[in-house]
Amino acid sequence: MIEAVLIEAGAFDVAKSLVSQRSRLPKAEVPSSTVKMIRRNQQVVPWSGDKIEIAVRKAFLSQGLNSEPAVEIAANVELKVLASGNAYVGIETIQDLVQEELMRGGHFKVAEAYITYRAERAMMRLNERVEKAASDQFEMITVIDKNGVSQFWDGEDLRRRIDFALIGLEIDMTRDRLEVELRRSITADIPAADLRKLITMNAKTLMEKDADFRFFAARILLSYIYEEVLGWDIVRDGVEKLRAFHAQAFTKYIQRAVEINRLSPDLRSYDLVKLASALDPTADLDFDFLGIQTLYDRYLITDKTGKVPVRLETPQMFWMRVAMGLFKEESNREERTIELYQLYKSRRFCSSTPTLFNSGTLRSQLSSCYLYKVDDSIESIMIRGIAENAFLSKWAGGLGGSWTSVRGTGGYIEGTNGESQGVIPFLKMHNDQLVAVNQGGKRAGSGCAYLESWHNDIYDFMELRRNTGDERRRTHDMNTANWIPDLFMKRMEARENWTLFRANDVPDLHDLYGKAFEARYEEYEAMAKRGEMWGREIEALDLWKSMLKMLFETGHPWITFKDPCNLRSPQDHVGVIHSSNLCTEITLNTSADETAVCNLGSILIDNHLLPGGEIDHEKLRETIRVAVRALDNVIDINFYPTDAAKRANERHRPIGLGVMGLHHALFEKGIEFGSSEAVEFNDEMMEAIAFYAYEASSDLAAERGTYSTYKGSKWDRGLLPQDTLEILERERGVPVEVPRGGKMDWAPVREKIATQGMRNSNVLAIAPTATIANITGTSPCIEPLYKNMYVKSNLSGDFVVVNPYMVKDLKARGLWTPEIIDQVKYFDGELDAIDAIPADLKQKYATAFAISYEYILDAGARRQKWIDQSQSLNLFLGQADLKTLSHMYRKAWHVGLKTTYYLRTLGASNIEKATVAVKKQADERKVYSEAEKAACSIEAMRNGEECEACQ
Amino acid sequence: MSTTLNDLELKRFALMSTAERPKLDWATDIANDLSVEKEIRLVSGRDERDFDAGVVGEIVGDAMAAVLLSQGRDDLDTVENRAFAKRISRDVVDRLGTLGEIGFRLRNTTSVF
Repeated sequence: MIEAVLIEAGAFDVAKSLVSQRSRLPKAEVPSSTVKMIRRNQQVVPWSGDKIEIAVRKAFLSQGLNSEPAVEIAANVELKVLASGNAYVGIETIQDLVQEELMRGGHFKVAEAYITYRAERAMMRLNERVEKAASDQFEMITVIDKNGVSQFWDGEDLRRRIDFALIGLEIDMTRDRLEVELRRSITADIPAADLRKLITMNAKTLMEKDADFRFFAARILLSYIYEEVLGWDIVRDGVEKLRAFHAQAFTKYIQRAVEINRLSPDLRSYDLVKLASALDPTADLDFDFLGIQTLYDRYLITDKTGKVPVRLETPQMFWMRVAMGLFKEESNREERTIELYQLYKSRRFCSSTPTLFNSGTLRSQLSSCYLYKVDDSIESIMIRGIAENAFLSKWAGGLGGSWTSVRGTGGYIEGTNGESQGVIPFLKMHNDQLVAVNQGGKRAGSGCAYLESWHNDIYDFMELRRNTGDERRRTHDMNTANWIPDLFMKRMEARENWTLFRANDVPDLHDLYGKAFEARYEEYEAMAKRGEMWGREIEALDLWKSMLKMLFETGHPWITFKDPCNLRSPQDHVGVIHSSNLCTEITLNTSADETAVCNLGSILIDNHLLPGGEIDHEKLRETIRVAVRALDNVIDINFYPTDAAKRANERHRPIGLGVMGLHHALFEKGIEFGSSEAVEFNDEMMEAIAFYAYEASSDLAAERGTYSTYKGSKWDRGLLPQDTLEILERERGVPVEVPRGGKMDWAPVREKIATQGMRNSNVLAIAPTATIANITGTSPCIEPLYKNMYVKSNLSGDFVVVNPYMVKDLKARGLWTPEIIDQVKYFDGELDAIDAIPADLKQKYATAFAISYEYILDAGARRQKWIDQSQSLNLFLGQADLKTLSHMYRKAWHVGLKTTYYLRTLGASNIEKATVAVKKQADERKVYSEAEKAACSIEAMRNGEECEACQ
Repeated sequence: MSTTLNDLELKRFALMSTAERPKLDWATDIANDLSVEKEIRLVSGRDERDFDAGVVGEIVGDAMAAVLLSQGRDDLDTVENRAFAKRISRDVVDRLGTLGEIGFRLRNTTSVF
């Protein structure tokens, strides 16, 4: 109204001033469109029709005209932008559209002035650029292209890449400075491929300066990936055309990948145009460097038929391909595929690595884990233990299995009238097989052998990972785990004796648990005492100490508990769990007929929080329903390397939905990892996930039928995982120290299960998510962060990874200075010894080793209450001694955990370092020995190696 | 100075926060001089307050200051300028009066100002 009065009064200048000031006012509304507007300084901002209207109004007022037509013109421009389907729209394009609309509306005078104004502004910008260029000191660079021809390189593409990389970031460095940084070490006559590598490398060296540089560097690399895959050119085409290029390239990609046998021909029968139109390259802006580099190096499908390997997929095409592979058998598969694609791209859920590797390919081996049991015969050892494991390993499956039934040293061999050498030589063979057969050339083969604590080779088994001794009895490439019965824990706590047996003398013992095990075990003990069979009596405490000593020394064998796994298993009516798997989160039955299989995927819990930090239940339920469906589909479309695996998976249909991003979620909520509040959150989070996951599986049963062995399962008997704590407590005869109950009303889910049954024998398992957490840019599974700053190494070299939450907090307090960055680097990301850091931030950013194990165990127990399988729960101890270790693992047992995973410890020198001043010399820093590196994969990761055992 | 440069100068001053540039503070005077007959509530984001003519005076004064500064003028608070702002404010208040007999609420968004 004021503007109208001003216009009537002829005060056009004042009206124009008024209109200009409007852009300072709060925005009217944020449109739901995903279109983003690129300003001339390359800032990307959400689409805003108001801004267009203001600009057009000013154009009218400049001509002394009423500005009301601006409303309609701005609306028309918006319609055209949305109809174009572009993900980004640049300011020049918008101005072209405004010009067009002015002409179309007959506002010729305004249009003419508008054109003149634009031309004048363009000339002014050009002059500024020429002046800048004249003052630049960059050398003349020539680049040799792939045909060997030298061409002058003016750096224009680099400037465009910088502009693209800066989209929406607040980096405290000018564009010119960034250009100087990215031009480092570029010399004349540089091959184009080297130029690309150098610029990417320069970009990643900036990552220690600010957390946002992780996105900046990612986008520099992304710009090259787009050029490699799409035939797009950043100078010629600009980021505005990325969506169009994706859409055009998608069909060609599928055709080409099928042609060279990289993808299944089934994918061609999809409505590819429909899927292509759903590709959203703006989602790539959320990738950090580690994520995009990991995808590029290992996950994107590559055409290797030419001289130079070429990636066929961009990240968004990759997500879509994986989703297509999982829904190809569904009737409304395009819609389902897009649903899952949208979860992937918006980082709500991520499938496990084998699924990401193989979905949609000709051999869709999508499972992460296989669990097997080796029986006491040479046939079983060679076929199940060695040969079949080689097939499973070849197709990227991690192996975990029980070797307990194999008779121990001294066991009588009836066929030859000889004595057995025990299980150790066979485990050595298994170890070497894992080395020989890697996972399709992509990951090292990984396995874990389990042995129950009464096996008479248990002491030799515990020494398998030692770096001294007879190399023929060492398995440096294989993990090991103790499978501990409750009776052993009770005997150990009571300082009583324990008896070791030869497995062939006690063939039923491995299949028994709970009170039945105790009774039978004591019968065998009595027989041994009477001299009716062989048995070796030891002090239970002595064996426990040896377990812990070896765990501390070599990182192995891990500690897992047989009875909670079995007593709480939903499938106790059709078999026995004889071991866990490679990463100790899967607890499924195994037998001579069945090799258990589990297909994994993880929810990003940090992306399921409301702005206030509460769990977004609606979003979580939506995510879980799609995820459970996708995991269930895996069972039917999976390629099974062995019959035993196919049989088991089709009969029971287990899946393993897990969670990652816990520490990031706690940062979002402002809760310390080591706190009662965090323990409570773990309870609440896991209850919600369990609630929606069991519901989703039951609803799938209504649609597709129950799994074949549902009848008689705990589900069928009305027992949900949280109910089975009482069974464990009863059978154990010792209280299970975890608070019962939760916050949700389970009656509707119980009702559904009672009437519909379950689609999957098992639904939840929290796997380690090292690699997929890297891809999705979150914290790994349920882990606390190991470091706030560390050096990461991969195929492309080293780079620094910084905790972005810490940087944000330090920046907010003016503490992200070069001096403090140096100190944070010096102390490997530990803030404790840095005087300038306030106590509350030290507490908030305490890393894994500074967090009391009690909180970690309590949080684990709360989660375990709701989970029908188990969790890969690493334990951390800064200063490990036998007594503390014993307290820790006894607590793990008392709170009802089923399994534990790695024990992470720090060497003494690291502890000392945290108390010295930063001025001390670098030679006091911890240097890891080869033995230490090998002992624990996290140590290896710190030293620039990959933990290949993880997802 | 070319039209384009004038325009850029105006934009620069218009977008400058009022803390950074002189402000024509006529709101109180105008509010005292011009009474608003109806009960009108002004809603801006989560804030809500009574409307008076000073609100318009403040907005007009602010817009005028940007124009005058962009023209290199430093004689901002003149009798003529003040009278102009008052005239515009009165016109706006009169128009508001014609919008209806019952009280209403104004939202301080682009649709109103």
